Amino acid sequence: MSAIQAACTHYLRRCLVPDEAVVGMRLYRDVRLPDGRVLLPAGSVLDAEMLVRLKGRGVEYIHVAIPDERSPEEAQADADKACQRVDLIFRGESSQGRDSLHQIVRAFRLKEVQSCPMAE
Amino acid sequence: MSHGRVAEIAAQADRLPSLPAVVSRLIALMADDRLGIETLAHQVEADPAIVARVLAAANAGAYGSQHISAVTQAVQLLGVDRVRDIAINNALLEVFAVRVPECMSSLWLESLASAVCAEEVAAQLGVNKSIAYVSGLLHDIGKLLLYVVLGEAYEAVLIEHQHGDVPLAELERARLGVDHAAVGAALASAWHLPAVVVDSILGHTDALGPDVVRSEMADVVHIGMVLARALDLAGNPRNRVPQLSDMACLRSGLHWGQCRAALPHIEGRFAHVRSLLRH
Repeated sequence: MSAIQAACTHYLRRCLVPDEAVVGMRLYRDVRLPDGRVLLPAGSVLDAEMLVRLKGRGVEYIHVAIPDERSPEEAQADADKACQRVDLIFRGESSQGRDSLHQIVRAFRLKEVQSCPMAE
Repeated sequence: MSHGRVAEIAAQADRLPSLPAVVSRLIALMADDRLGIETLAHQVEADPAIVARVLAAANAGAYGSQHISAVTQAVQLLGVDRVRDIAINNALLEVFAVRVPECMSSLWLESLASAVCAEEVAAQLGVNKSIAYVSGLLHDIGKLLLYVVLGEAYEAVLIEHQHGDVPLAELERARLGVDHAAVGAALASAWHLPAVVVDSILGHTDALGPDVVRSEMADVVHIGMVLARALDLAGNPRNRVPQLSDMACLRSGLHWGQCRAALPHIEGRFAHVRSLLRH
């Protein structure tokens, strides 16, 4: 574990395919096999052997926790940018279902740029 | 809309790269829910280009010193869904690889994103996931043929659509006398794809043509297409979420609460299917 990871209490979640993962990354969610069994539990710090297992067992993607080193101002700017993008793509005439989807996606994107503790 | 005009454009299907025969057969097997390990391996073996990609993906998994050289072994290792993704995505990527103007540059990624979302919607509704995936991949294939046949006249319609509020299919009918859904369905029919795929292409748009009634699979593809655009998966700078049919949502019985929980999975799966194209 790097010094930054050891000191960090808040993280950003990122979704990666196994080819993009590198040694030292921390899993944010359990990695499960297609039959539901846990291959690697949340919190595991990836080592070389785990990377081989991820690729070899046909895991499609993983969720990792990246230390959040942003200032509060930078975090707010990211949140504003995410919301603006969602509002932009939902411009124009709408319907009840489209409005519901707009709110769901906005909340999802906002959560994505917000820090979370590892235990969440 | 003129059916003669649709037929006239669909008759020029040979101006697009042809769909490999093995892909048509795979889709037919999927429609009948008959795609198992042995059947899939047998079909894949008929196409050397697909064999090479499947074996490369199996060996990329780094299974110690084991080298995979048999297709059946590769299918067992990778699973039916993953081999299906490799075979169909790569074959369709070649069909989509025609030169298109900048306003159509996101067409392939938007189709791939719609496939992943339609598959997830189908999974939640308990309908055929594989057919939803393929129908999502092909739902906008009519745009490609319209451009290949009509060139700048179609490009002008796409640009007008980007700057206005009229749904694309409605604008296409007003300007060209045909829409991409009808042309895409005629093309799928010419490729001998199953009726469930043809009907879902015909009924996917946010502005249905006259006399078109959405099938159950068309509802799934329509919702999947809107969800893909809502998640902005293709990263198109000019993206705008199409109209979502309240009737399609109601008829399908989809719960948005379930969809919300599936969003991280959709993003992960999209990243995965994109990565398969590198093999």
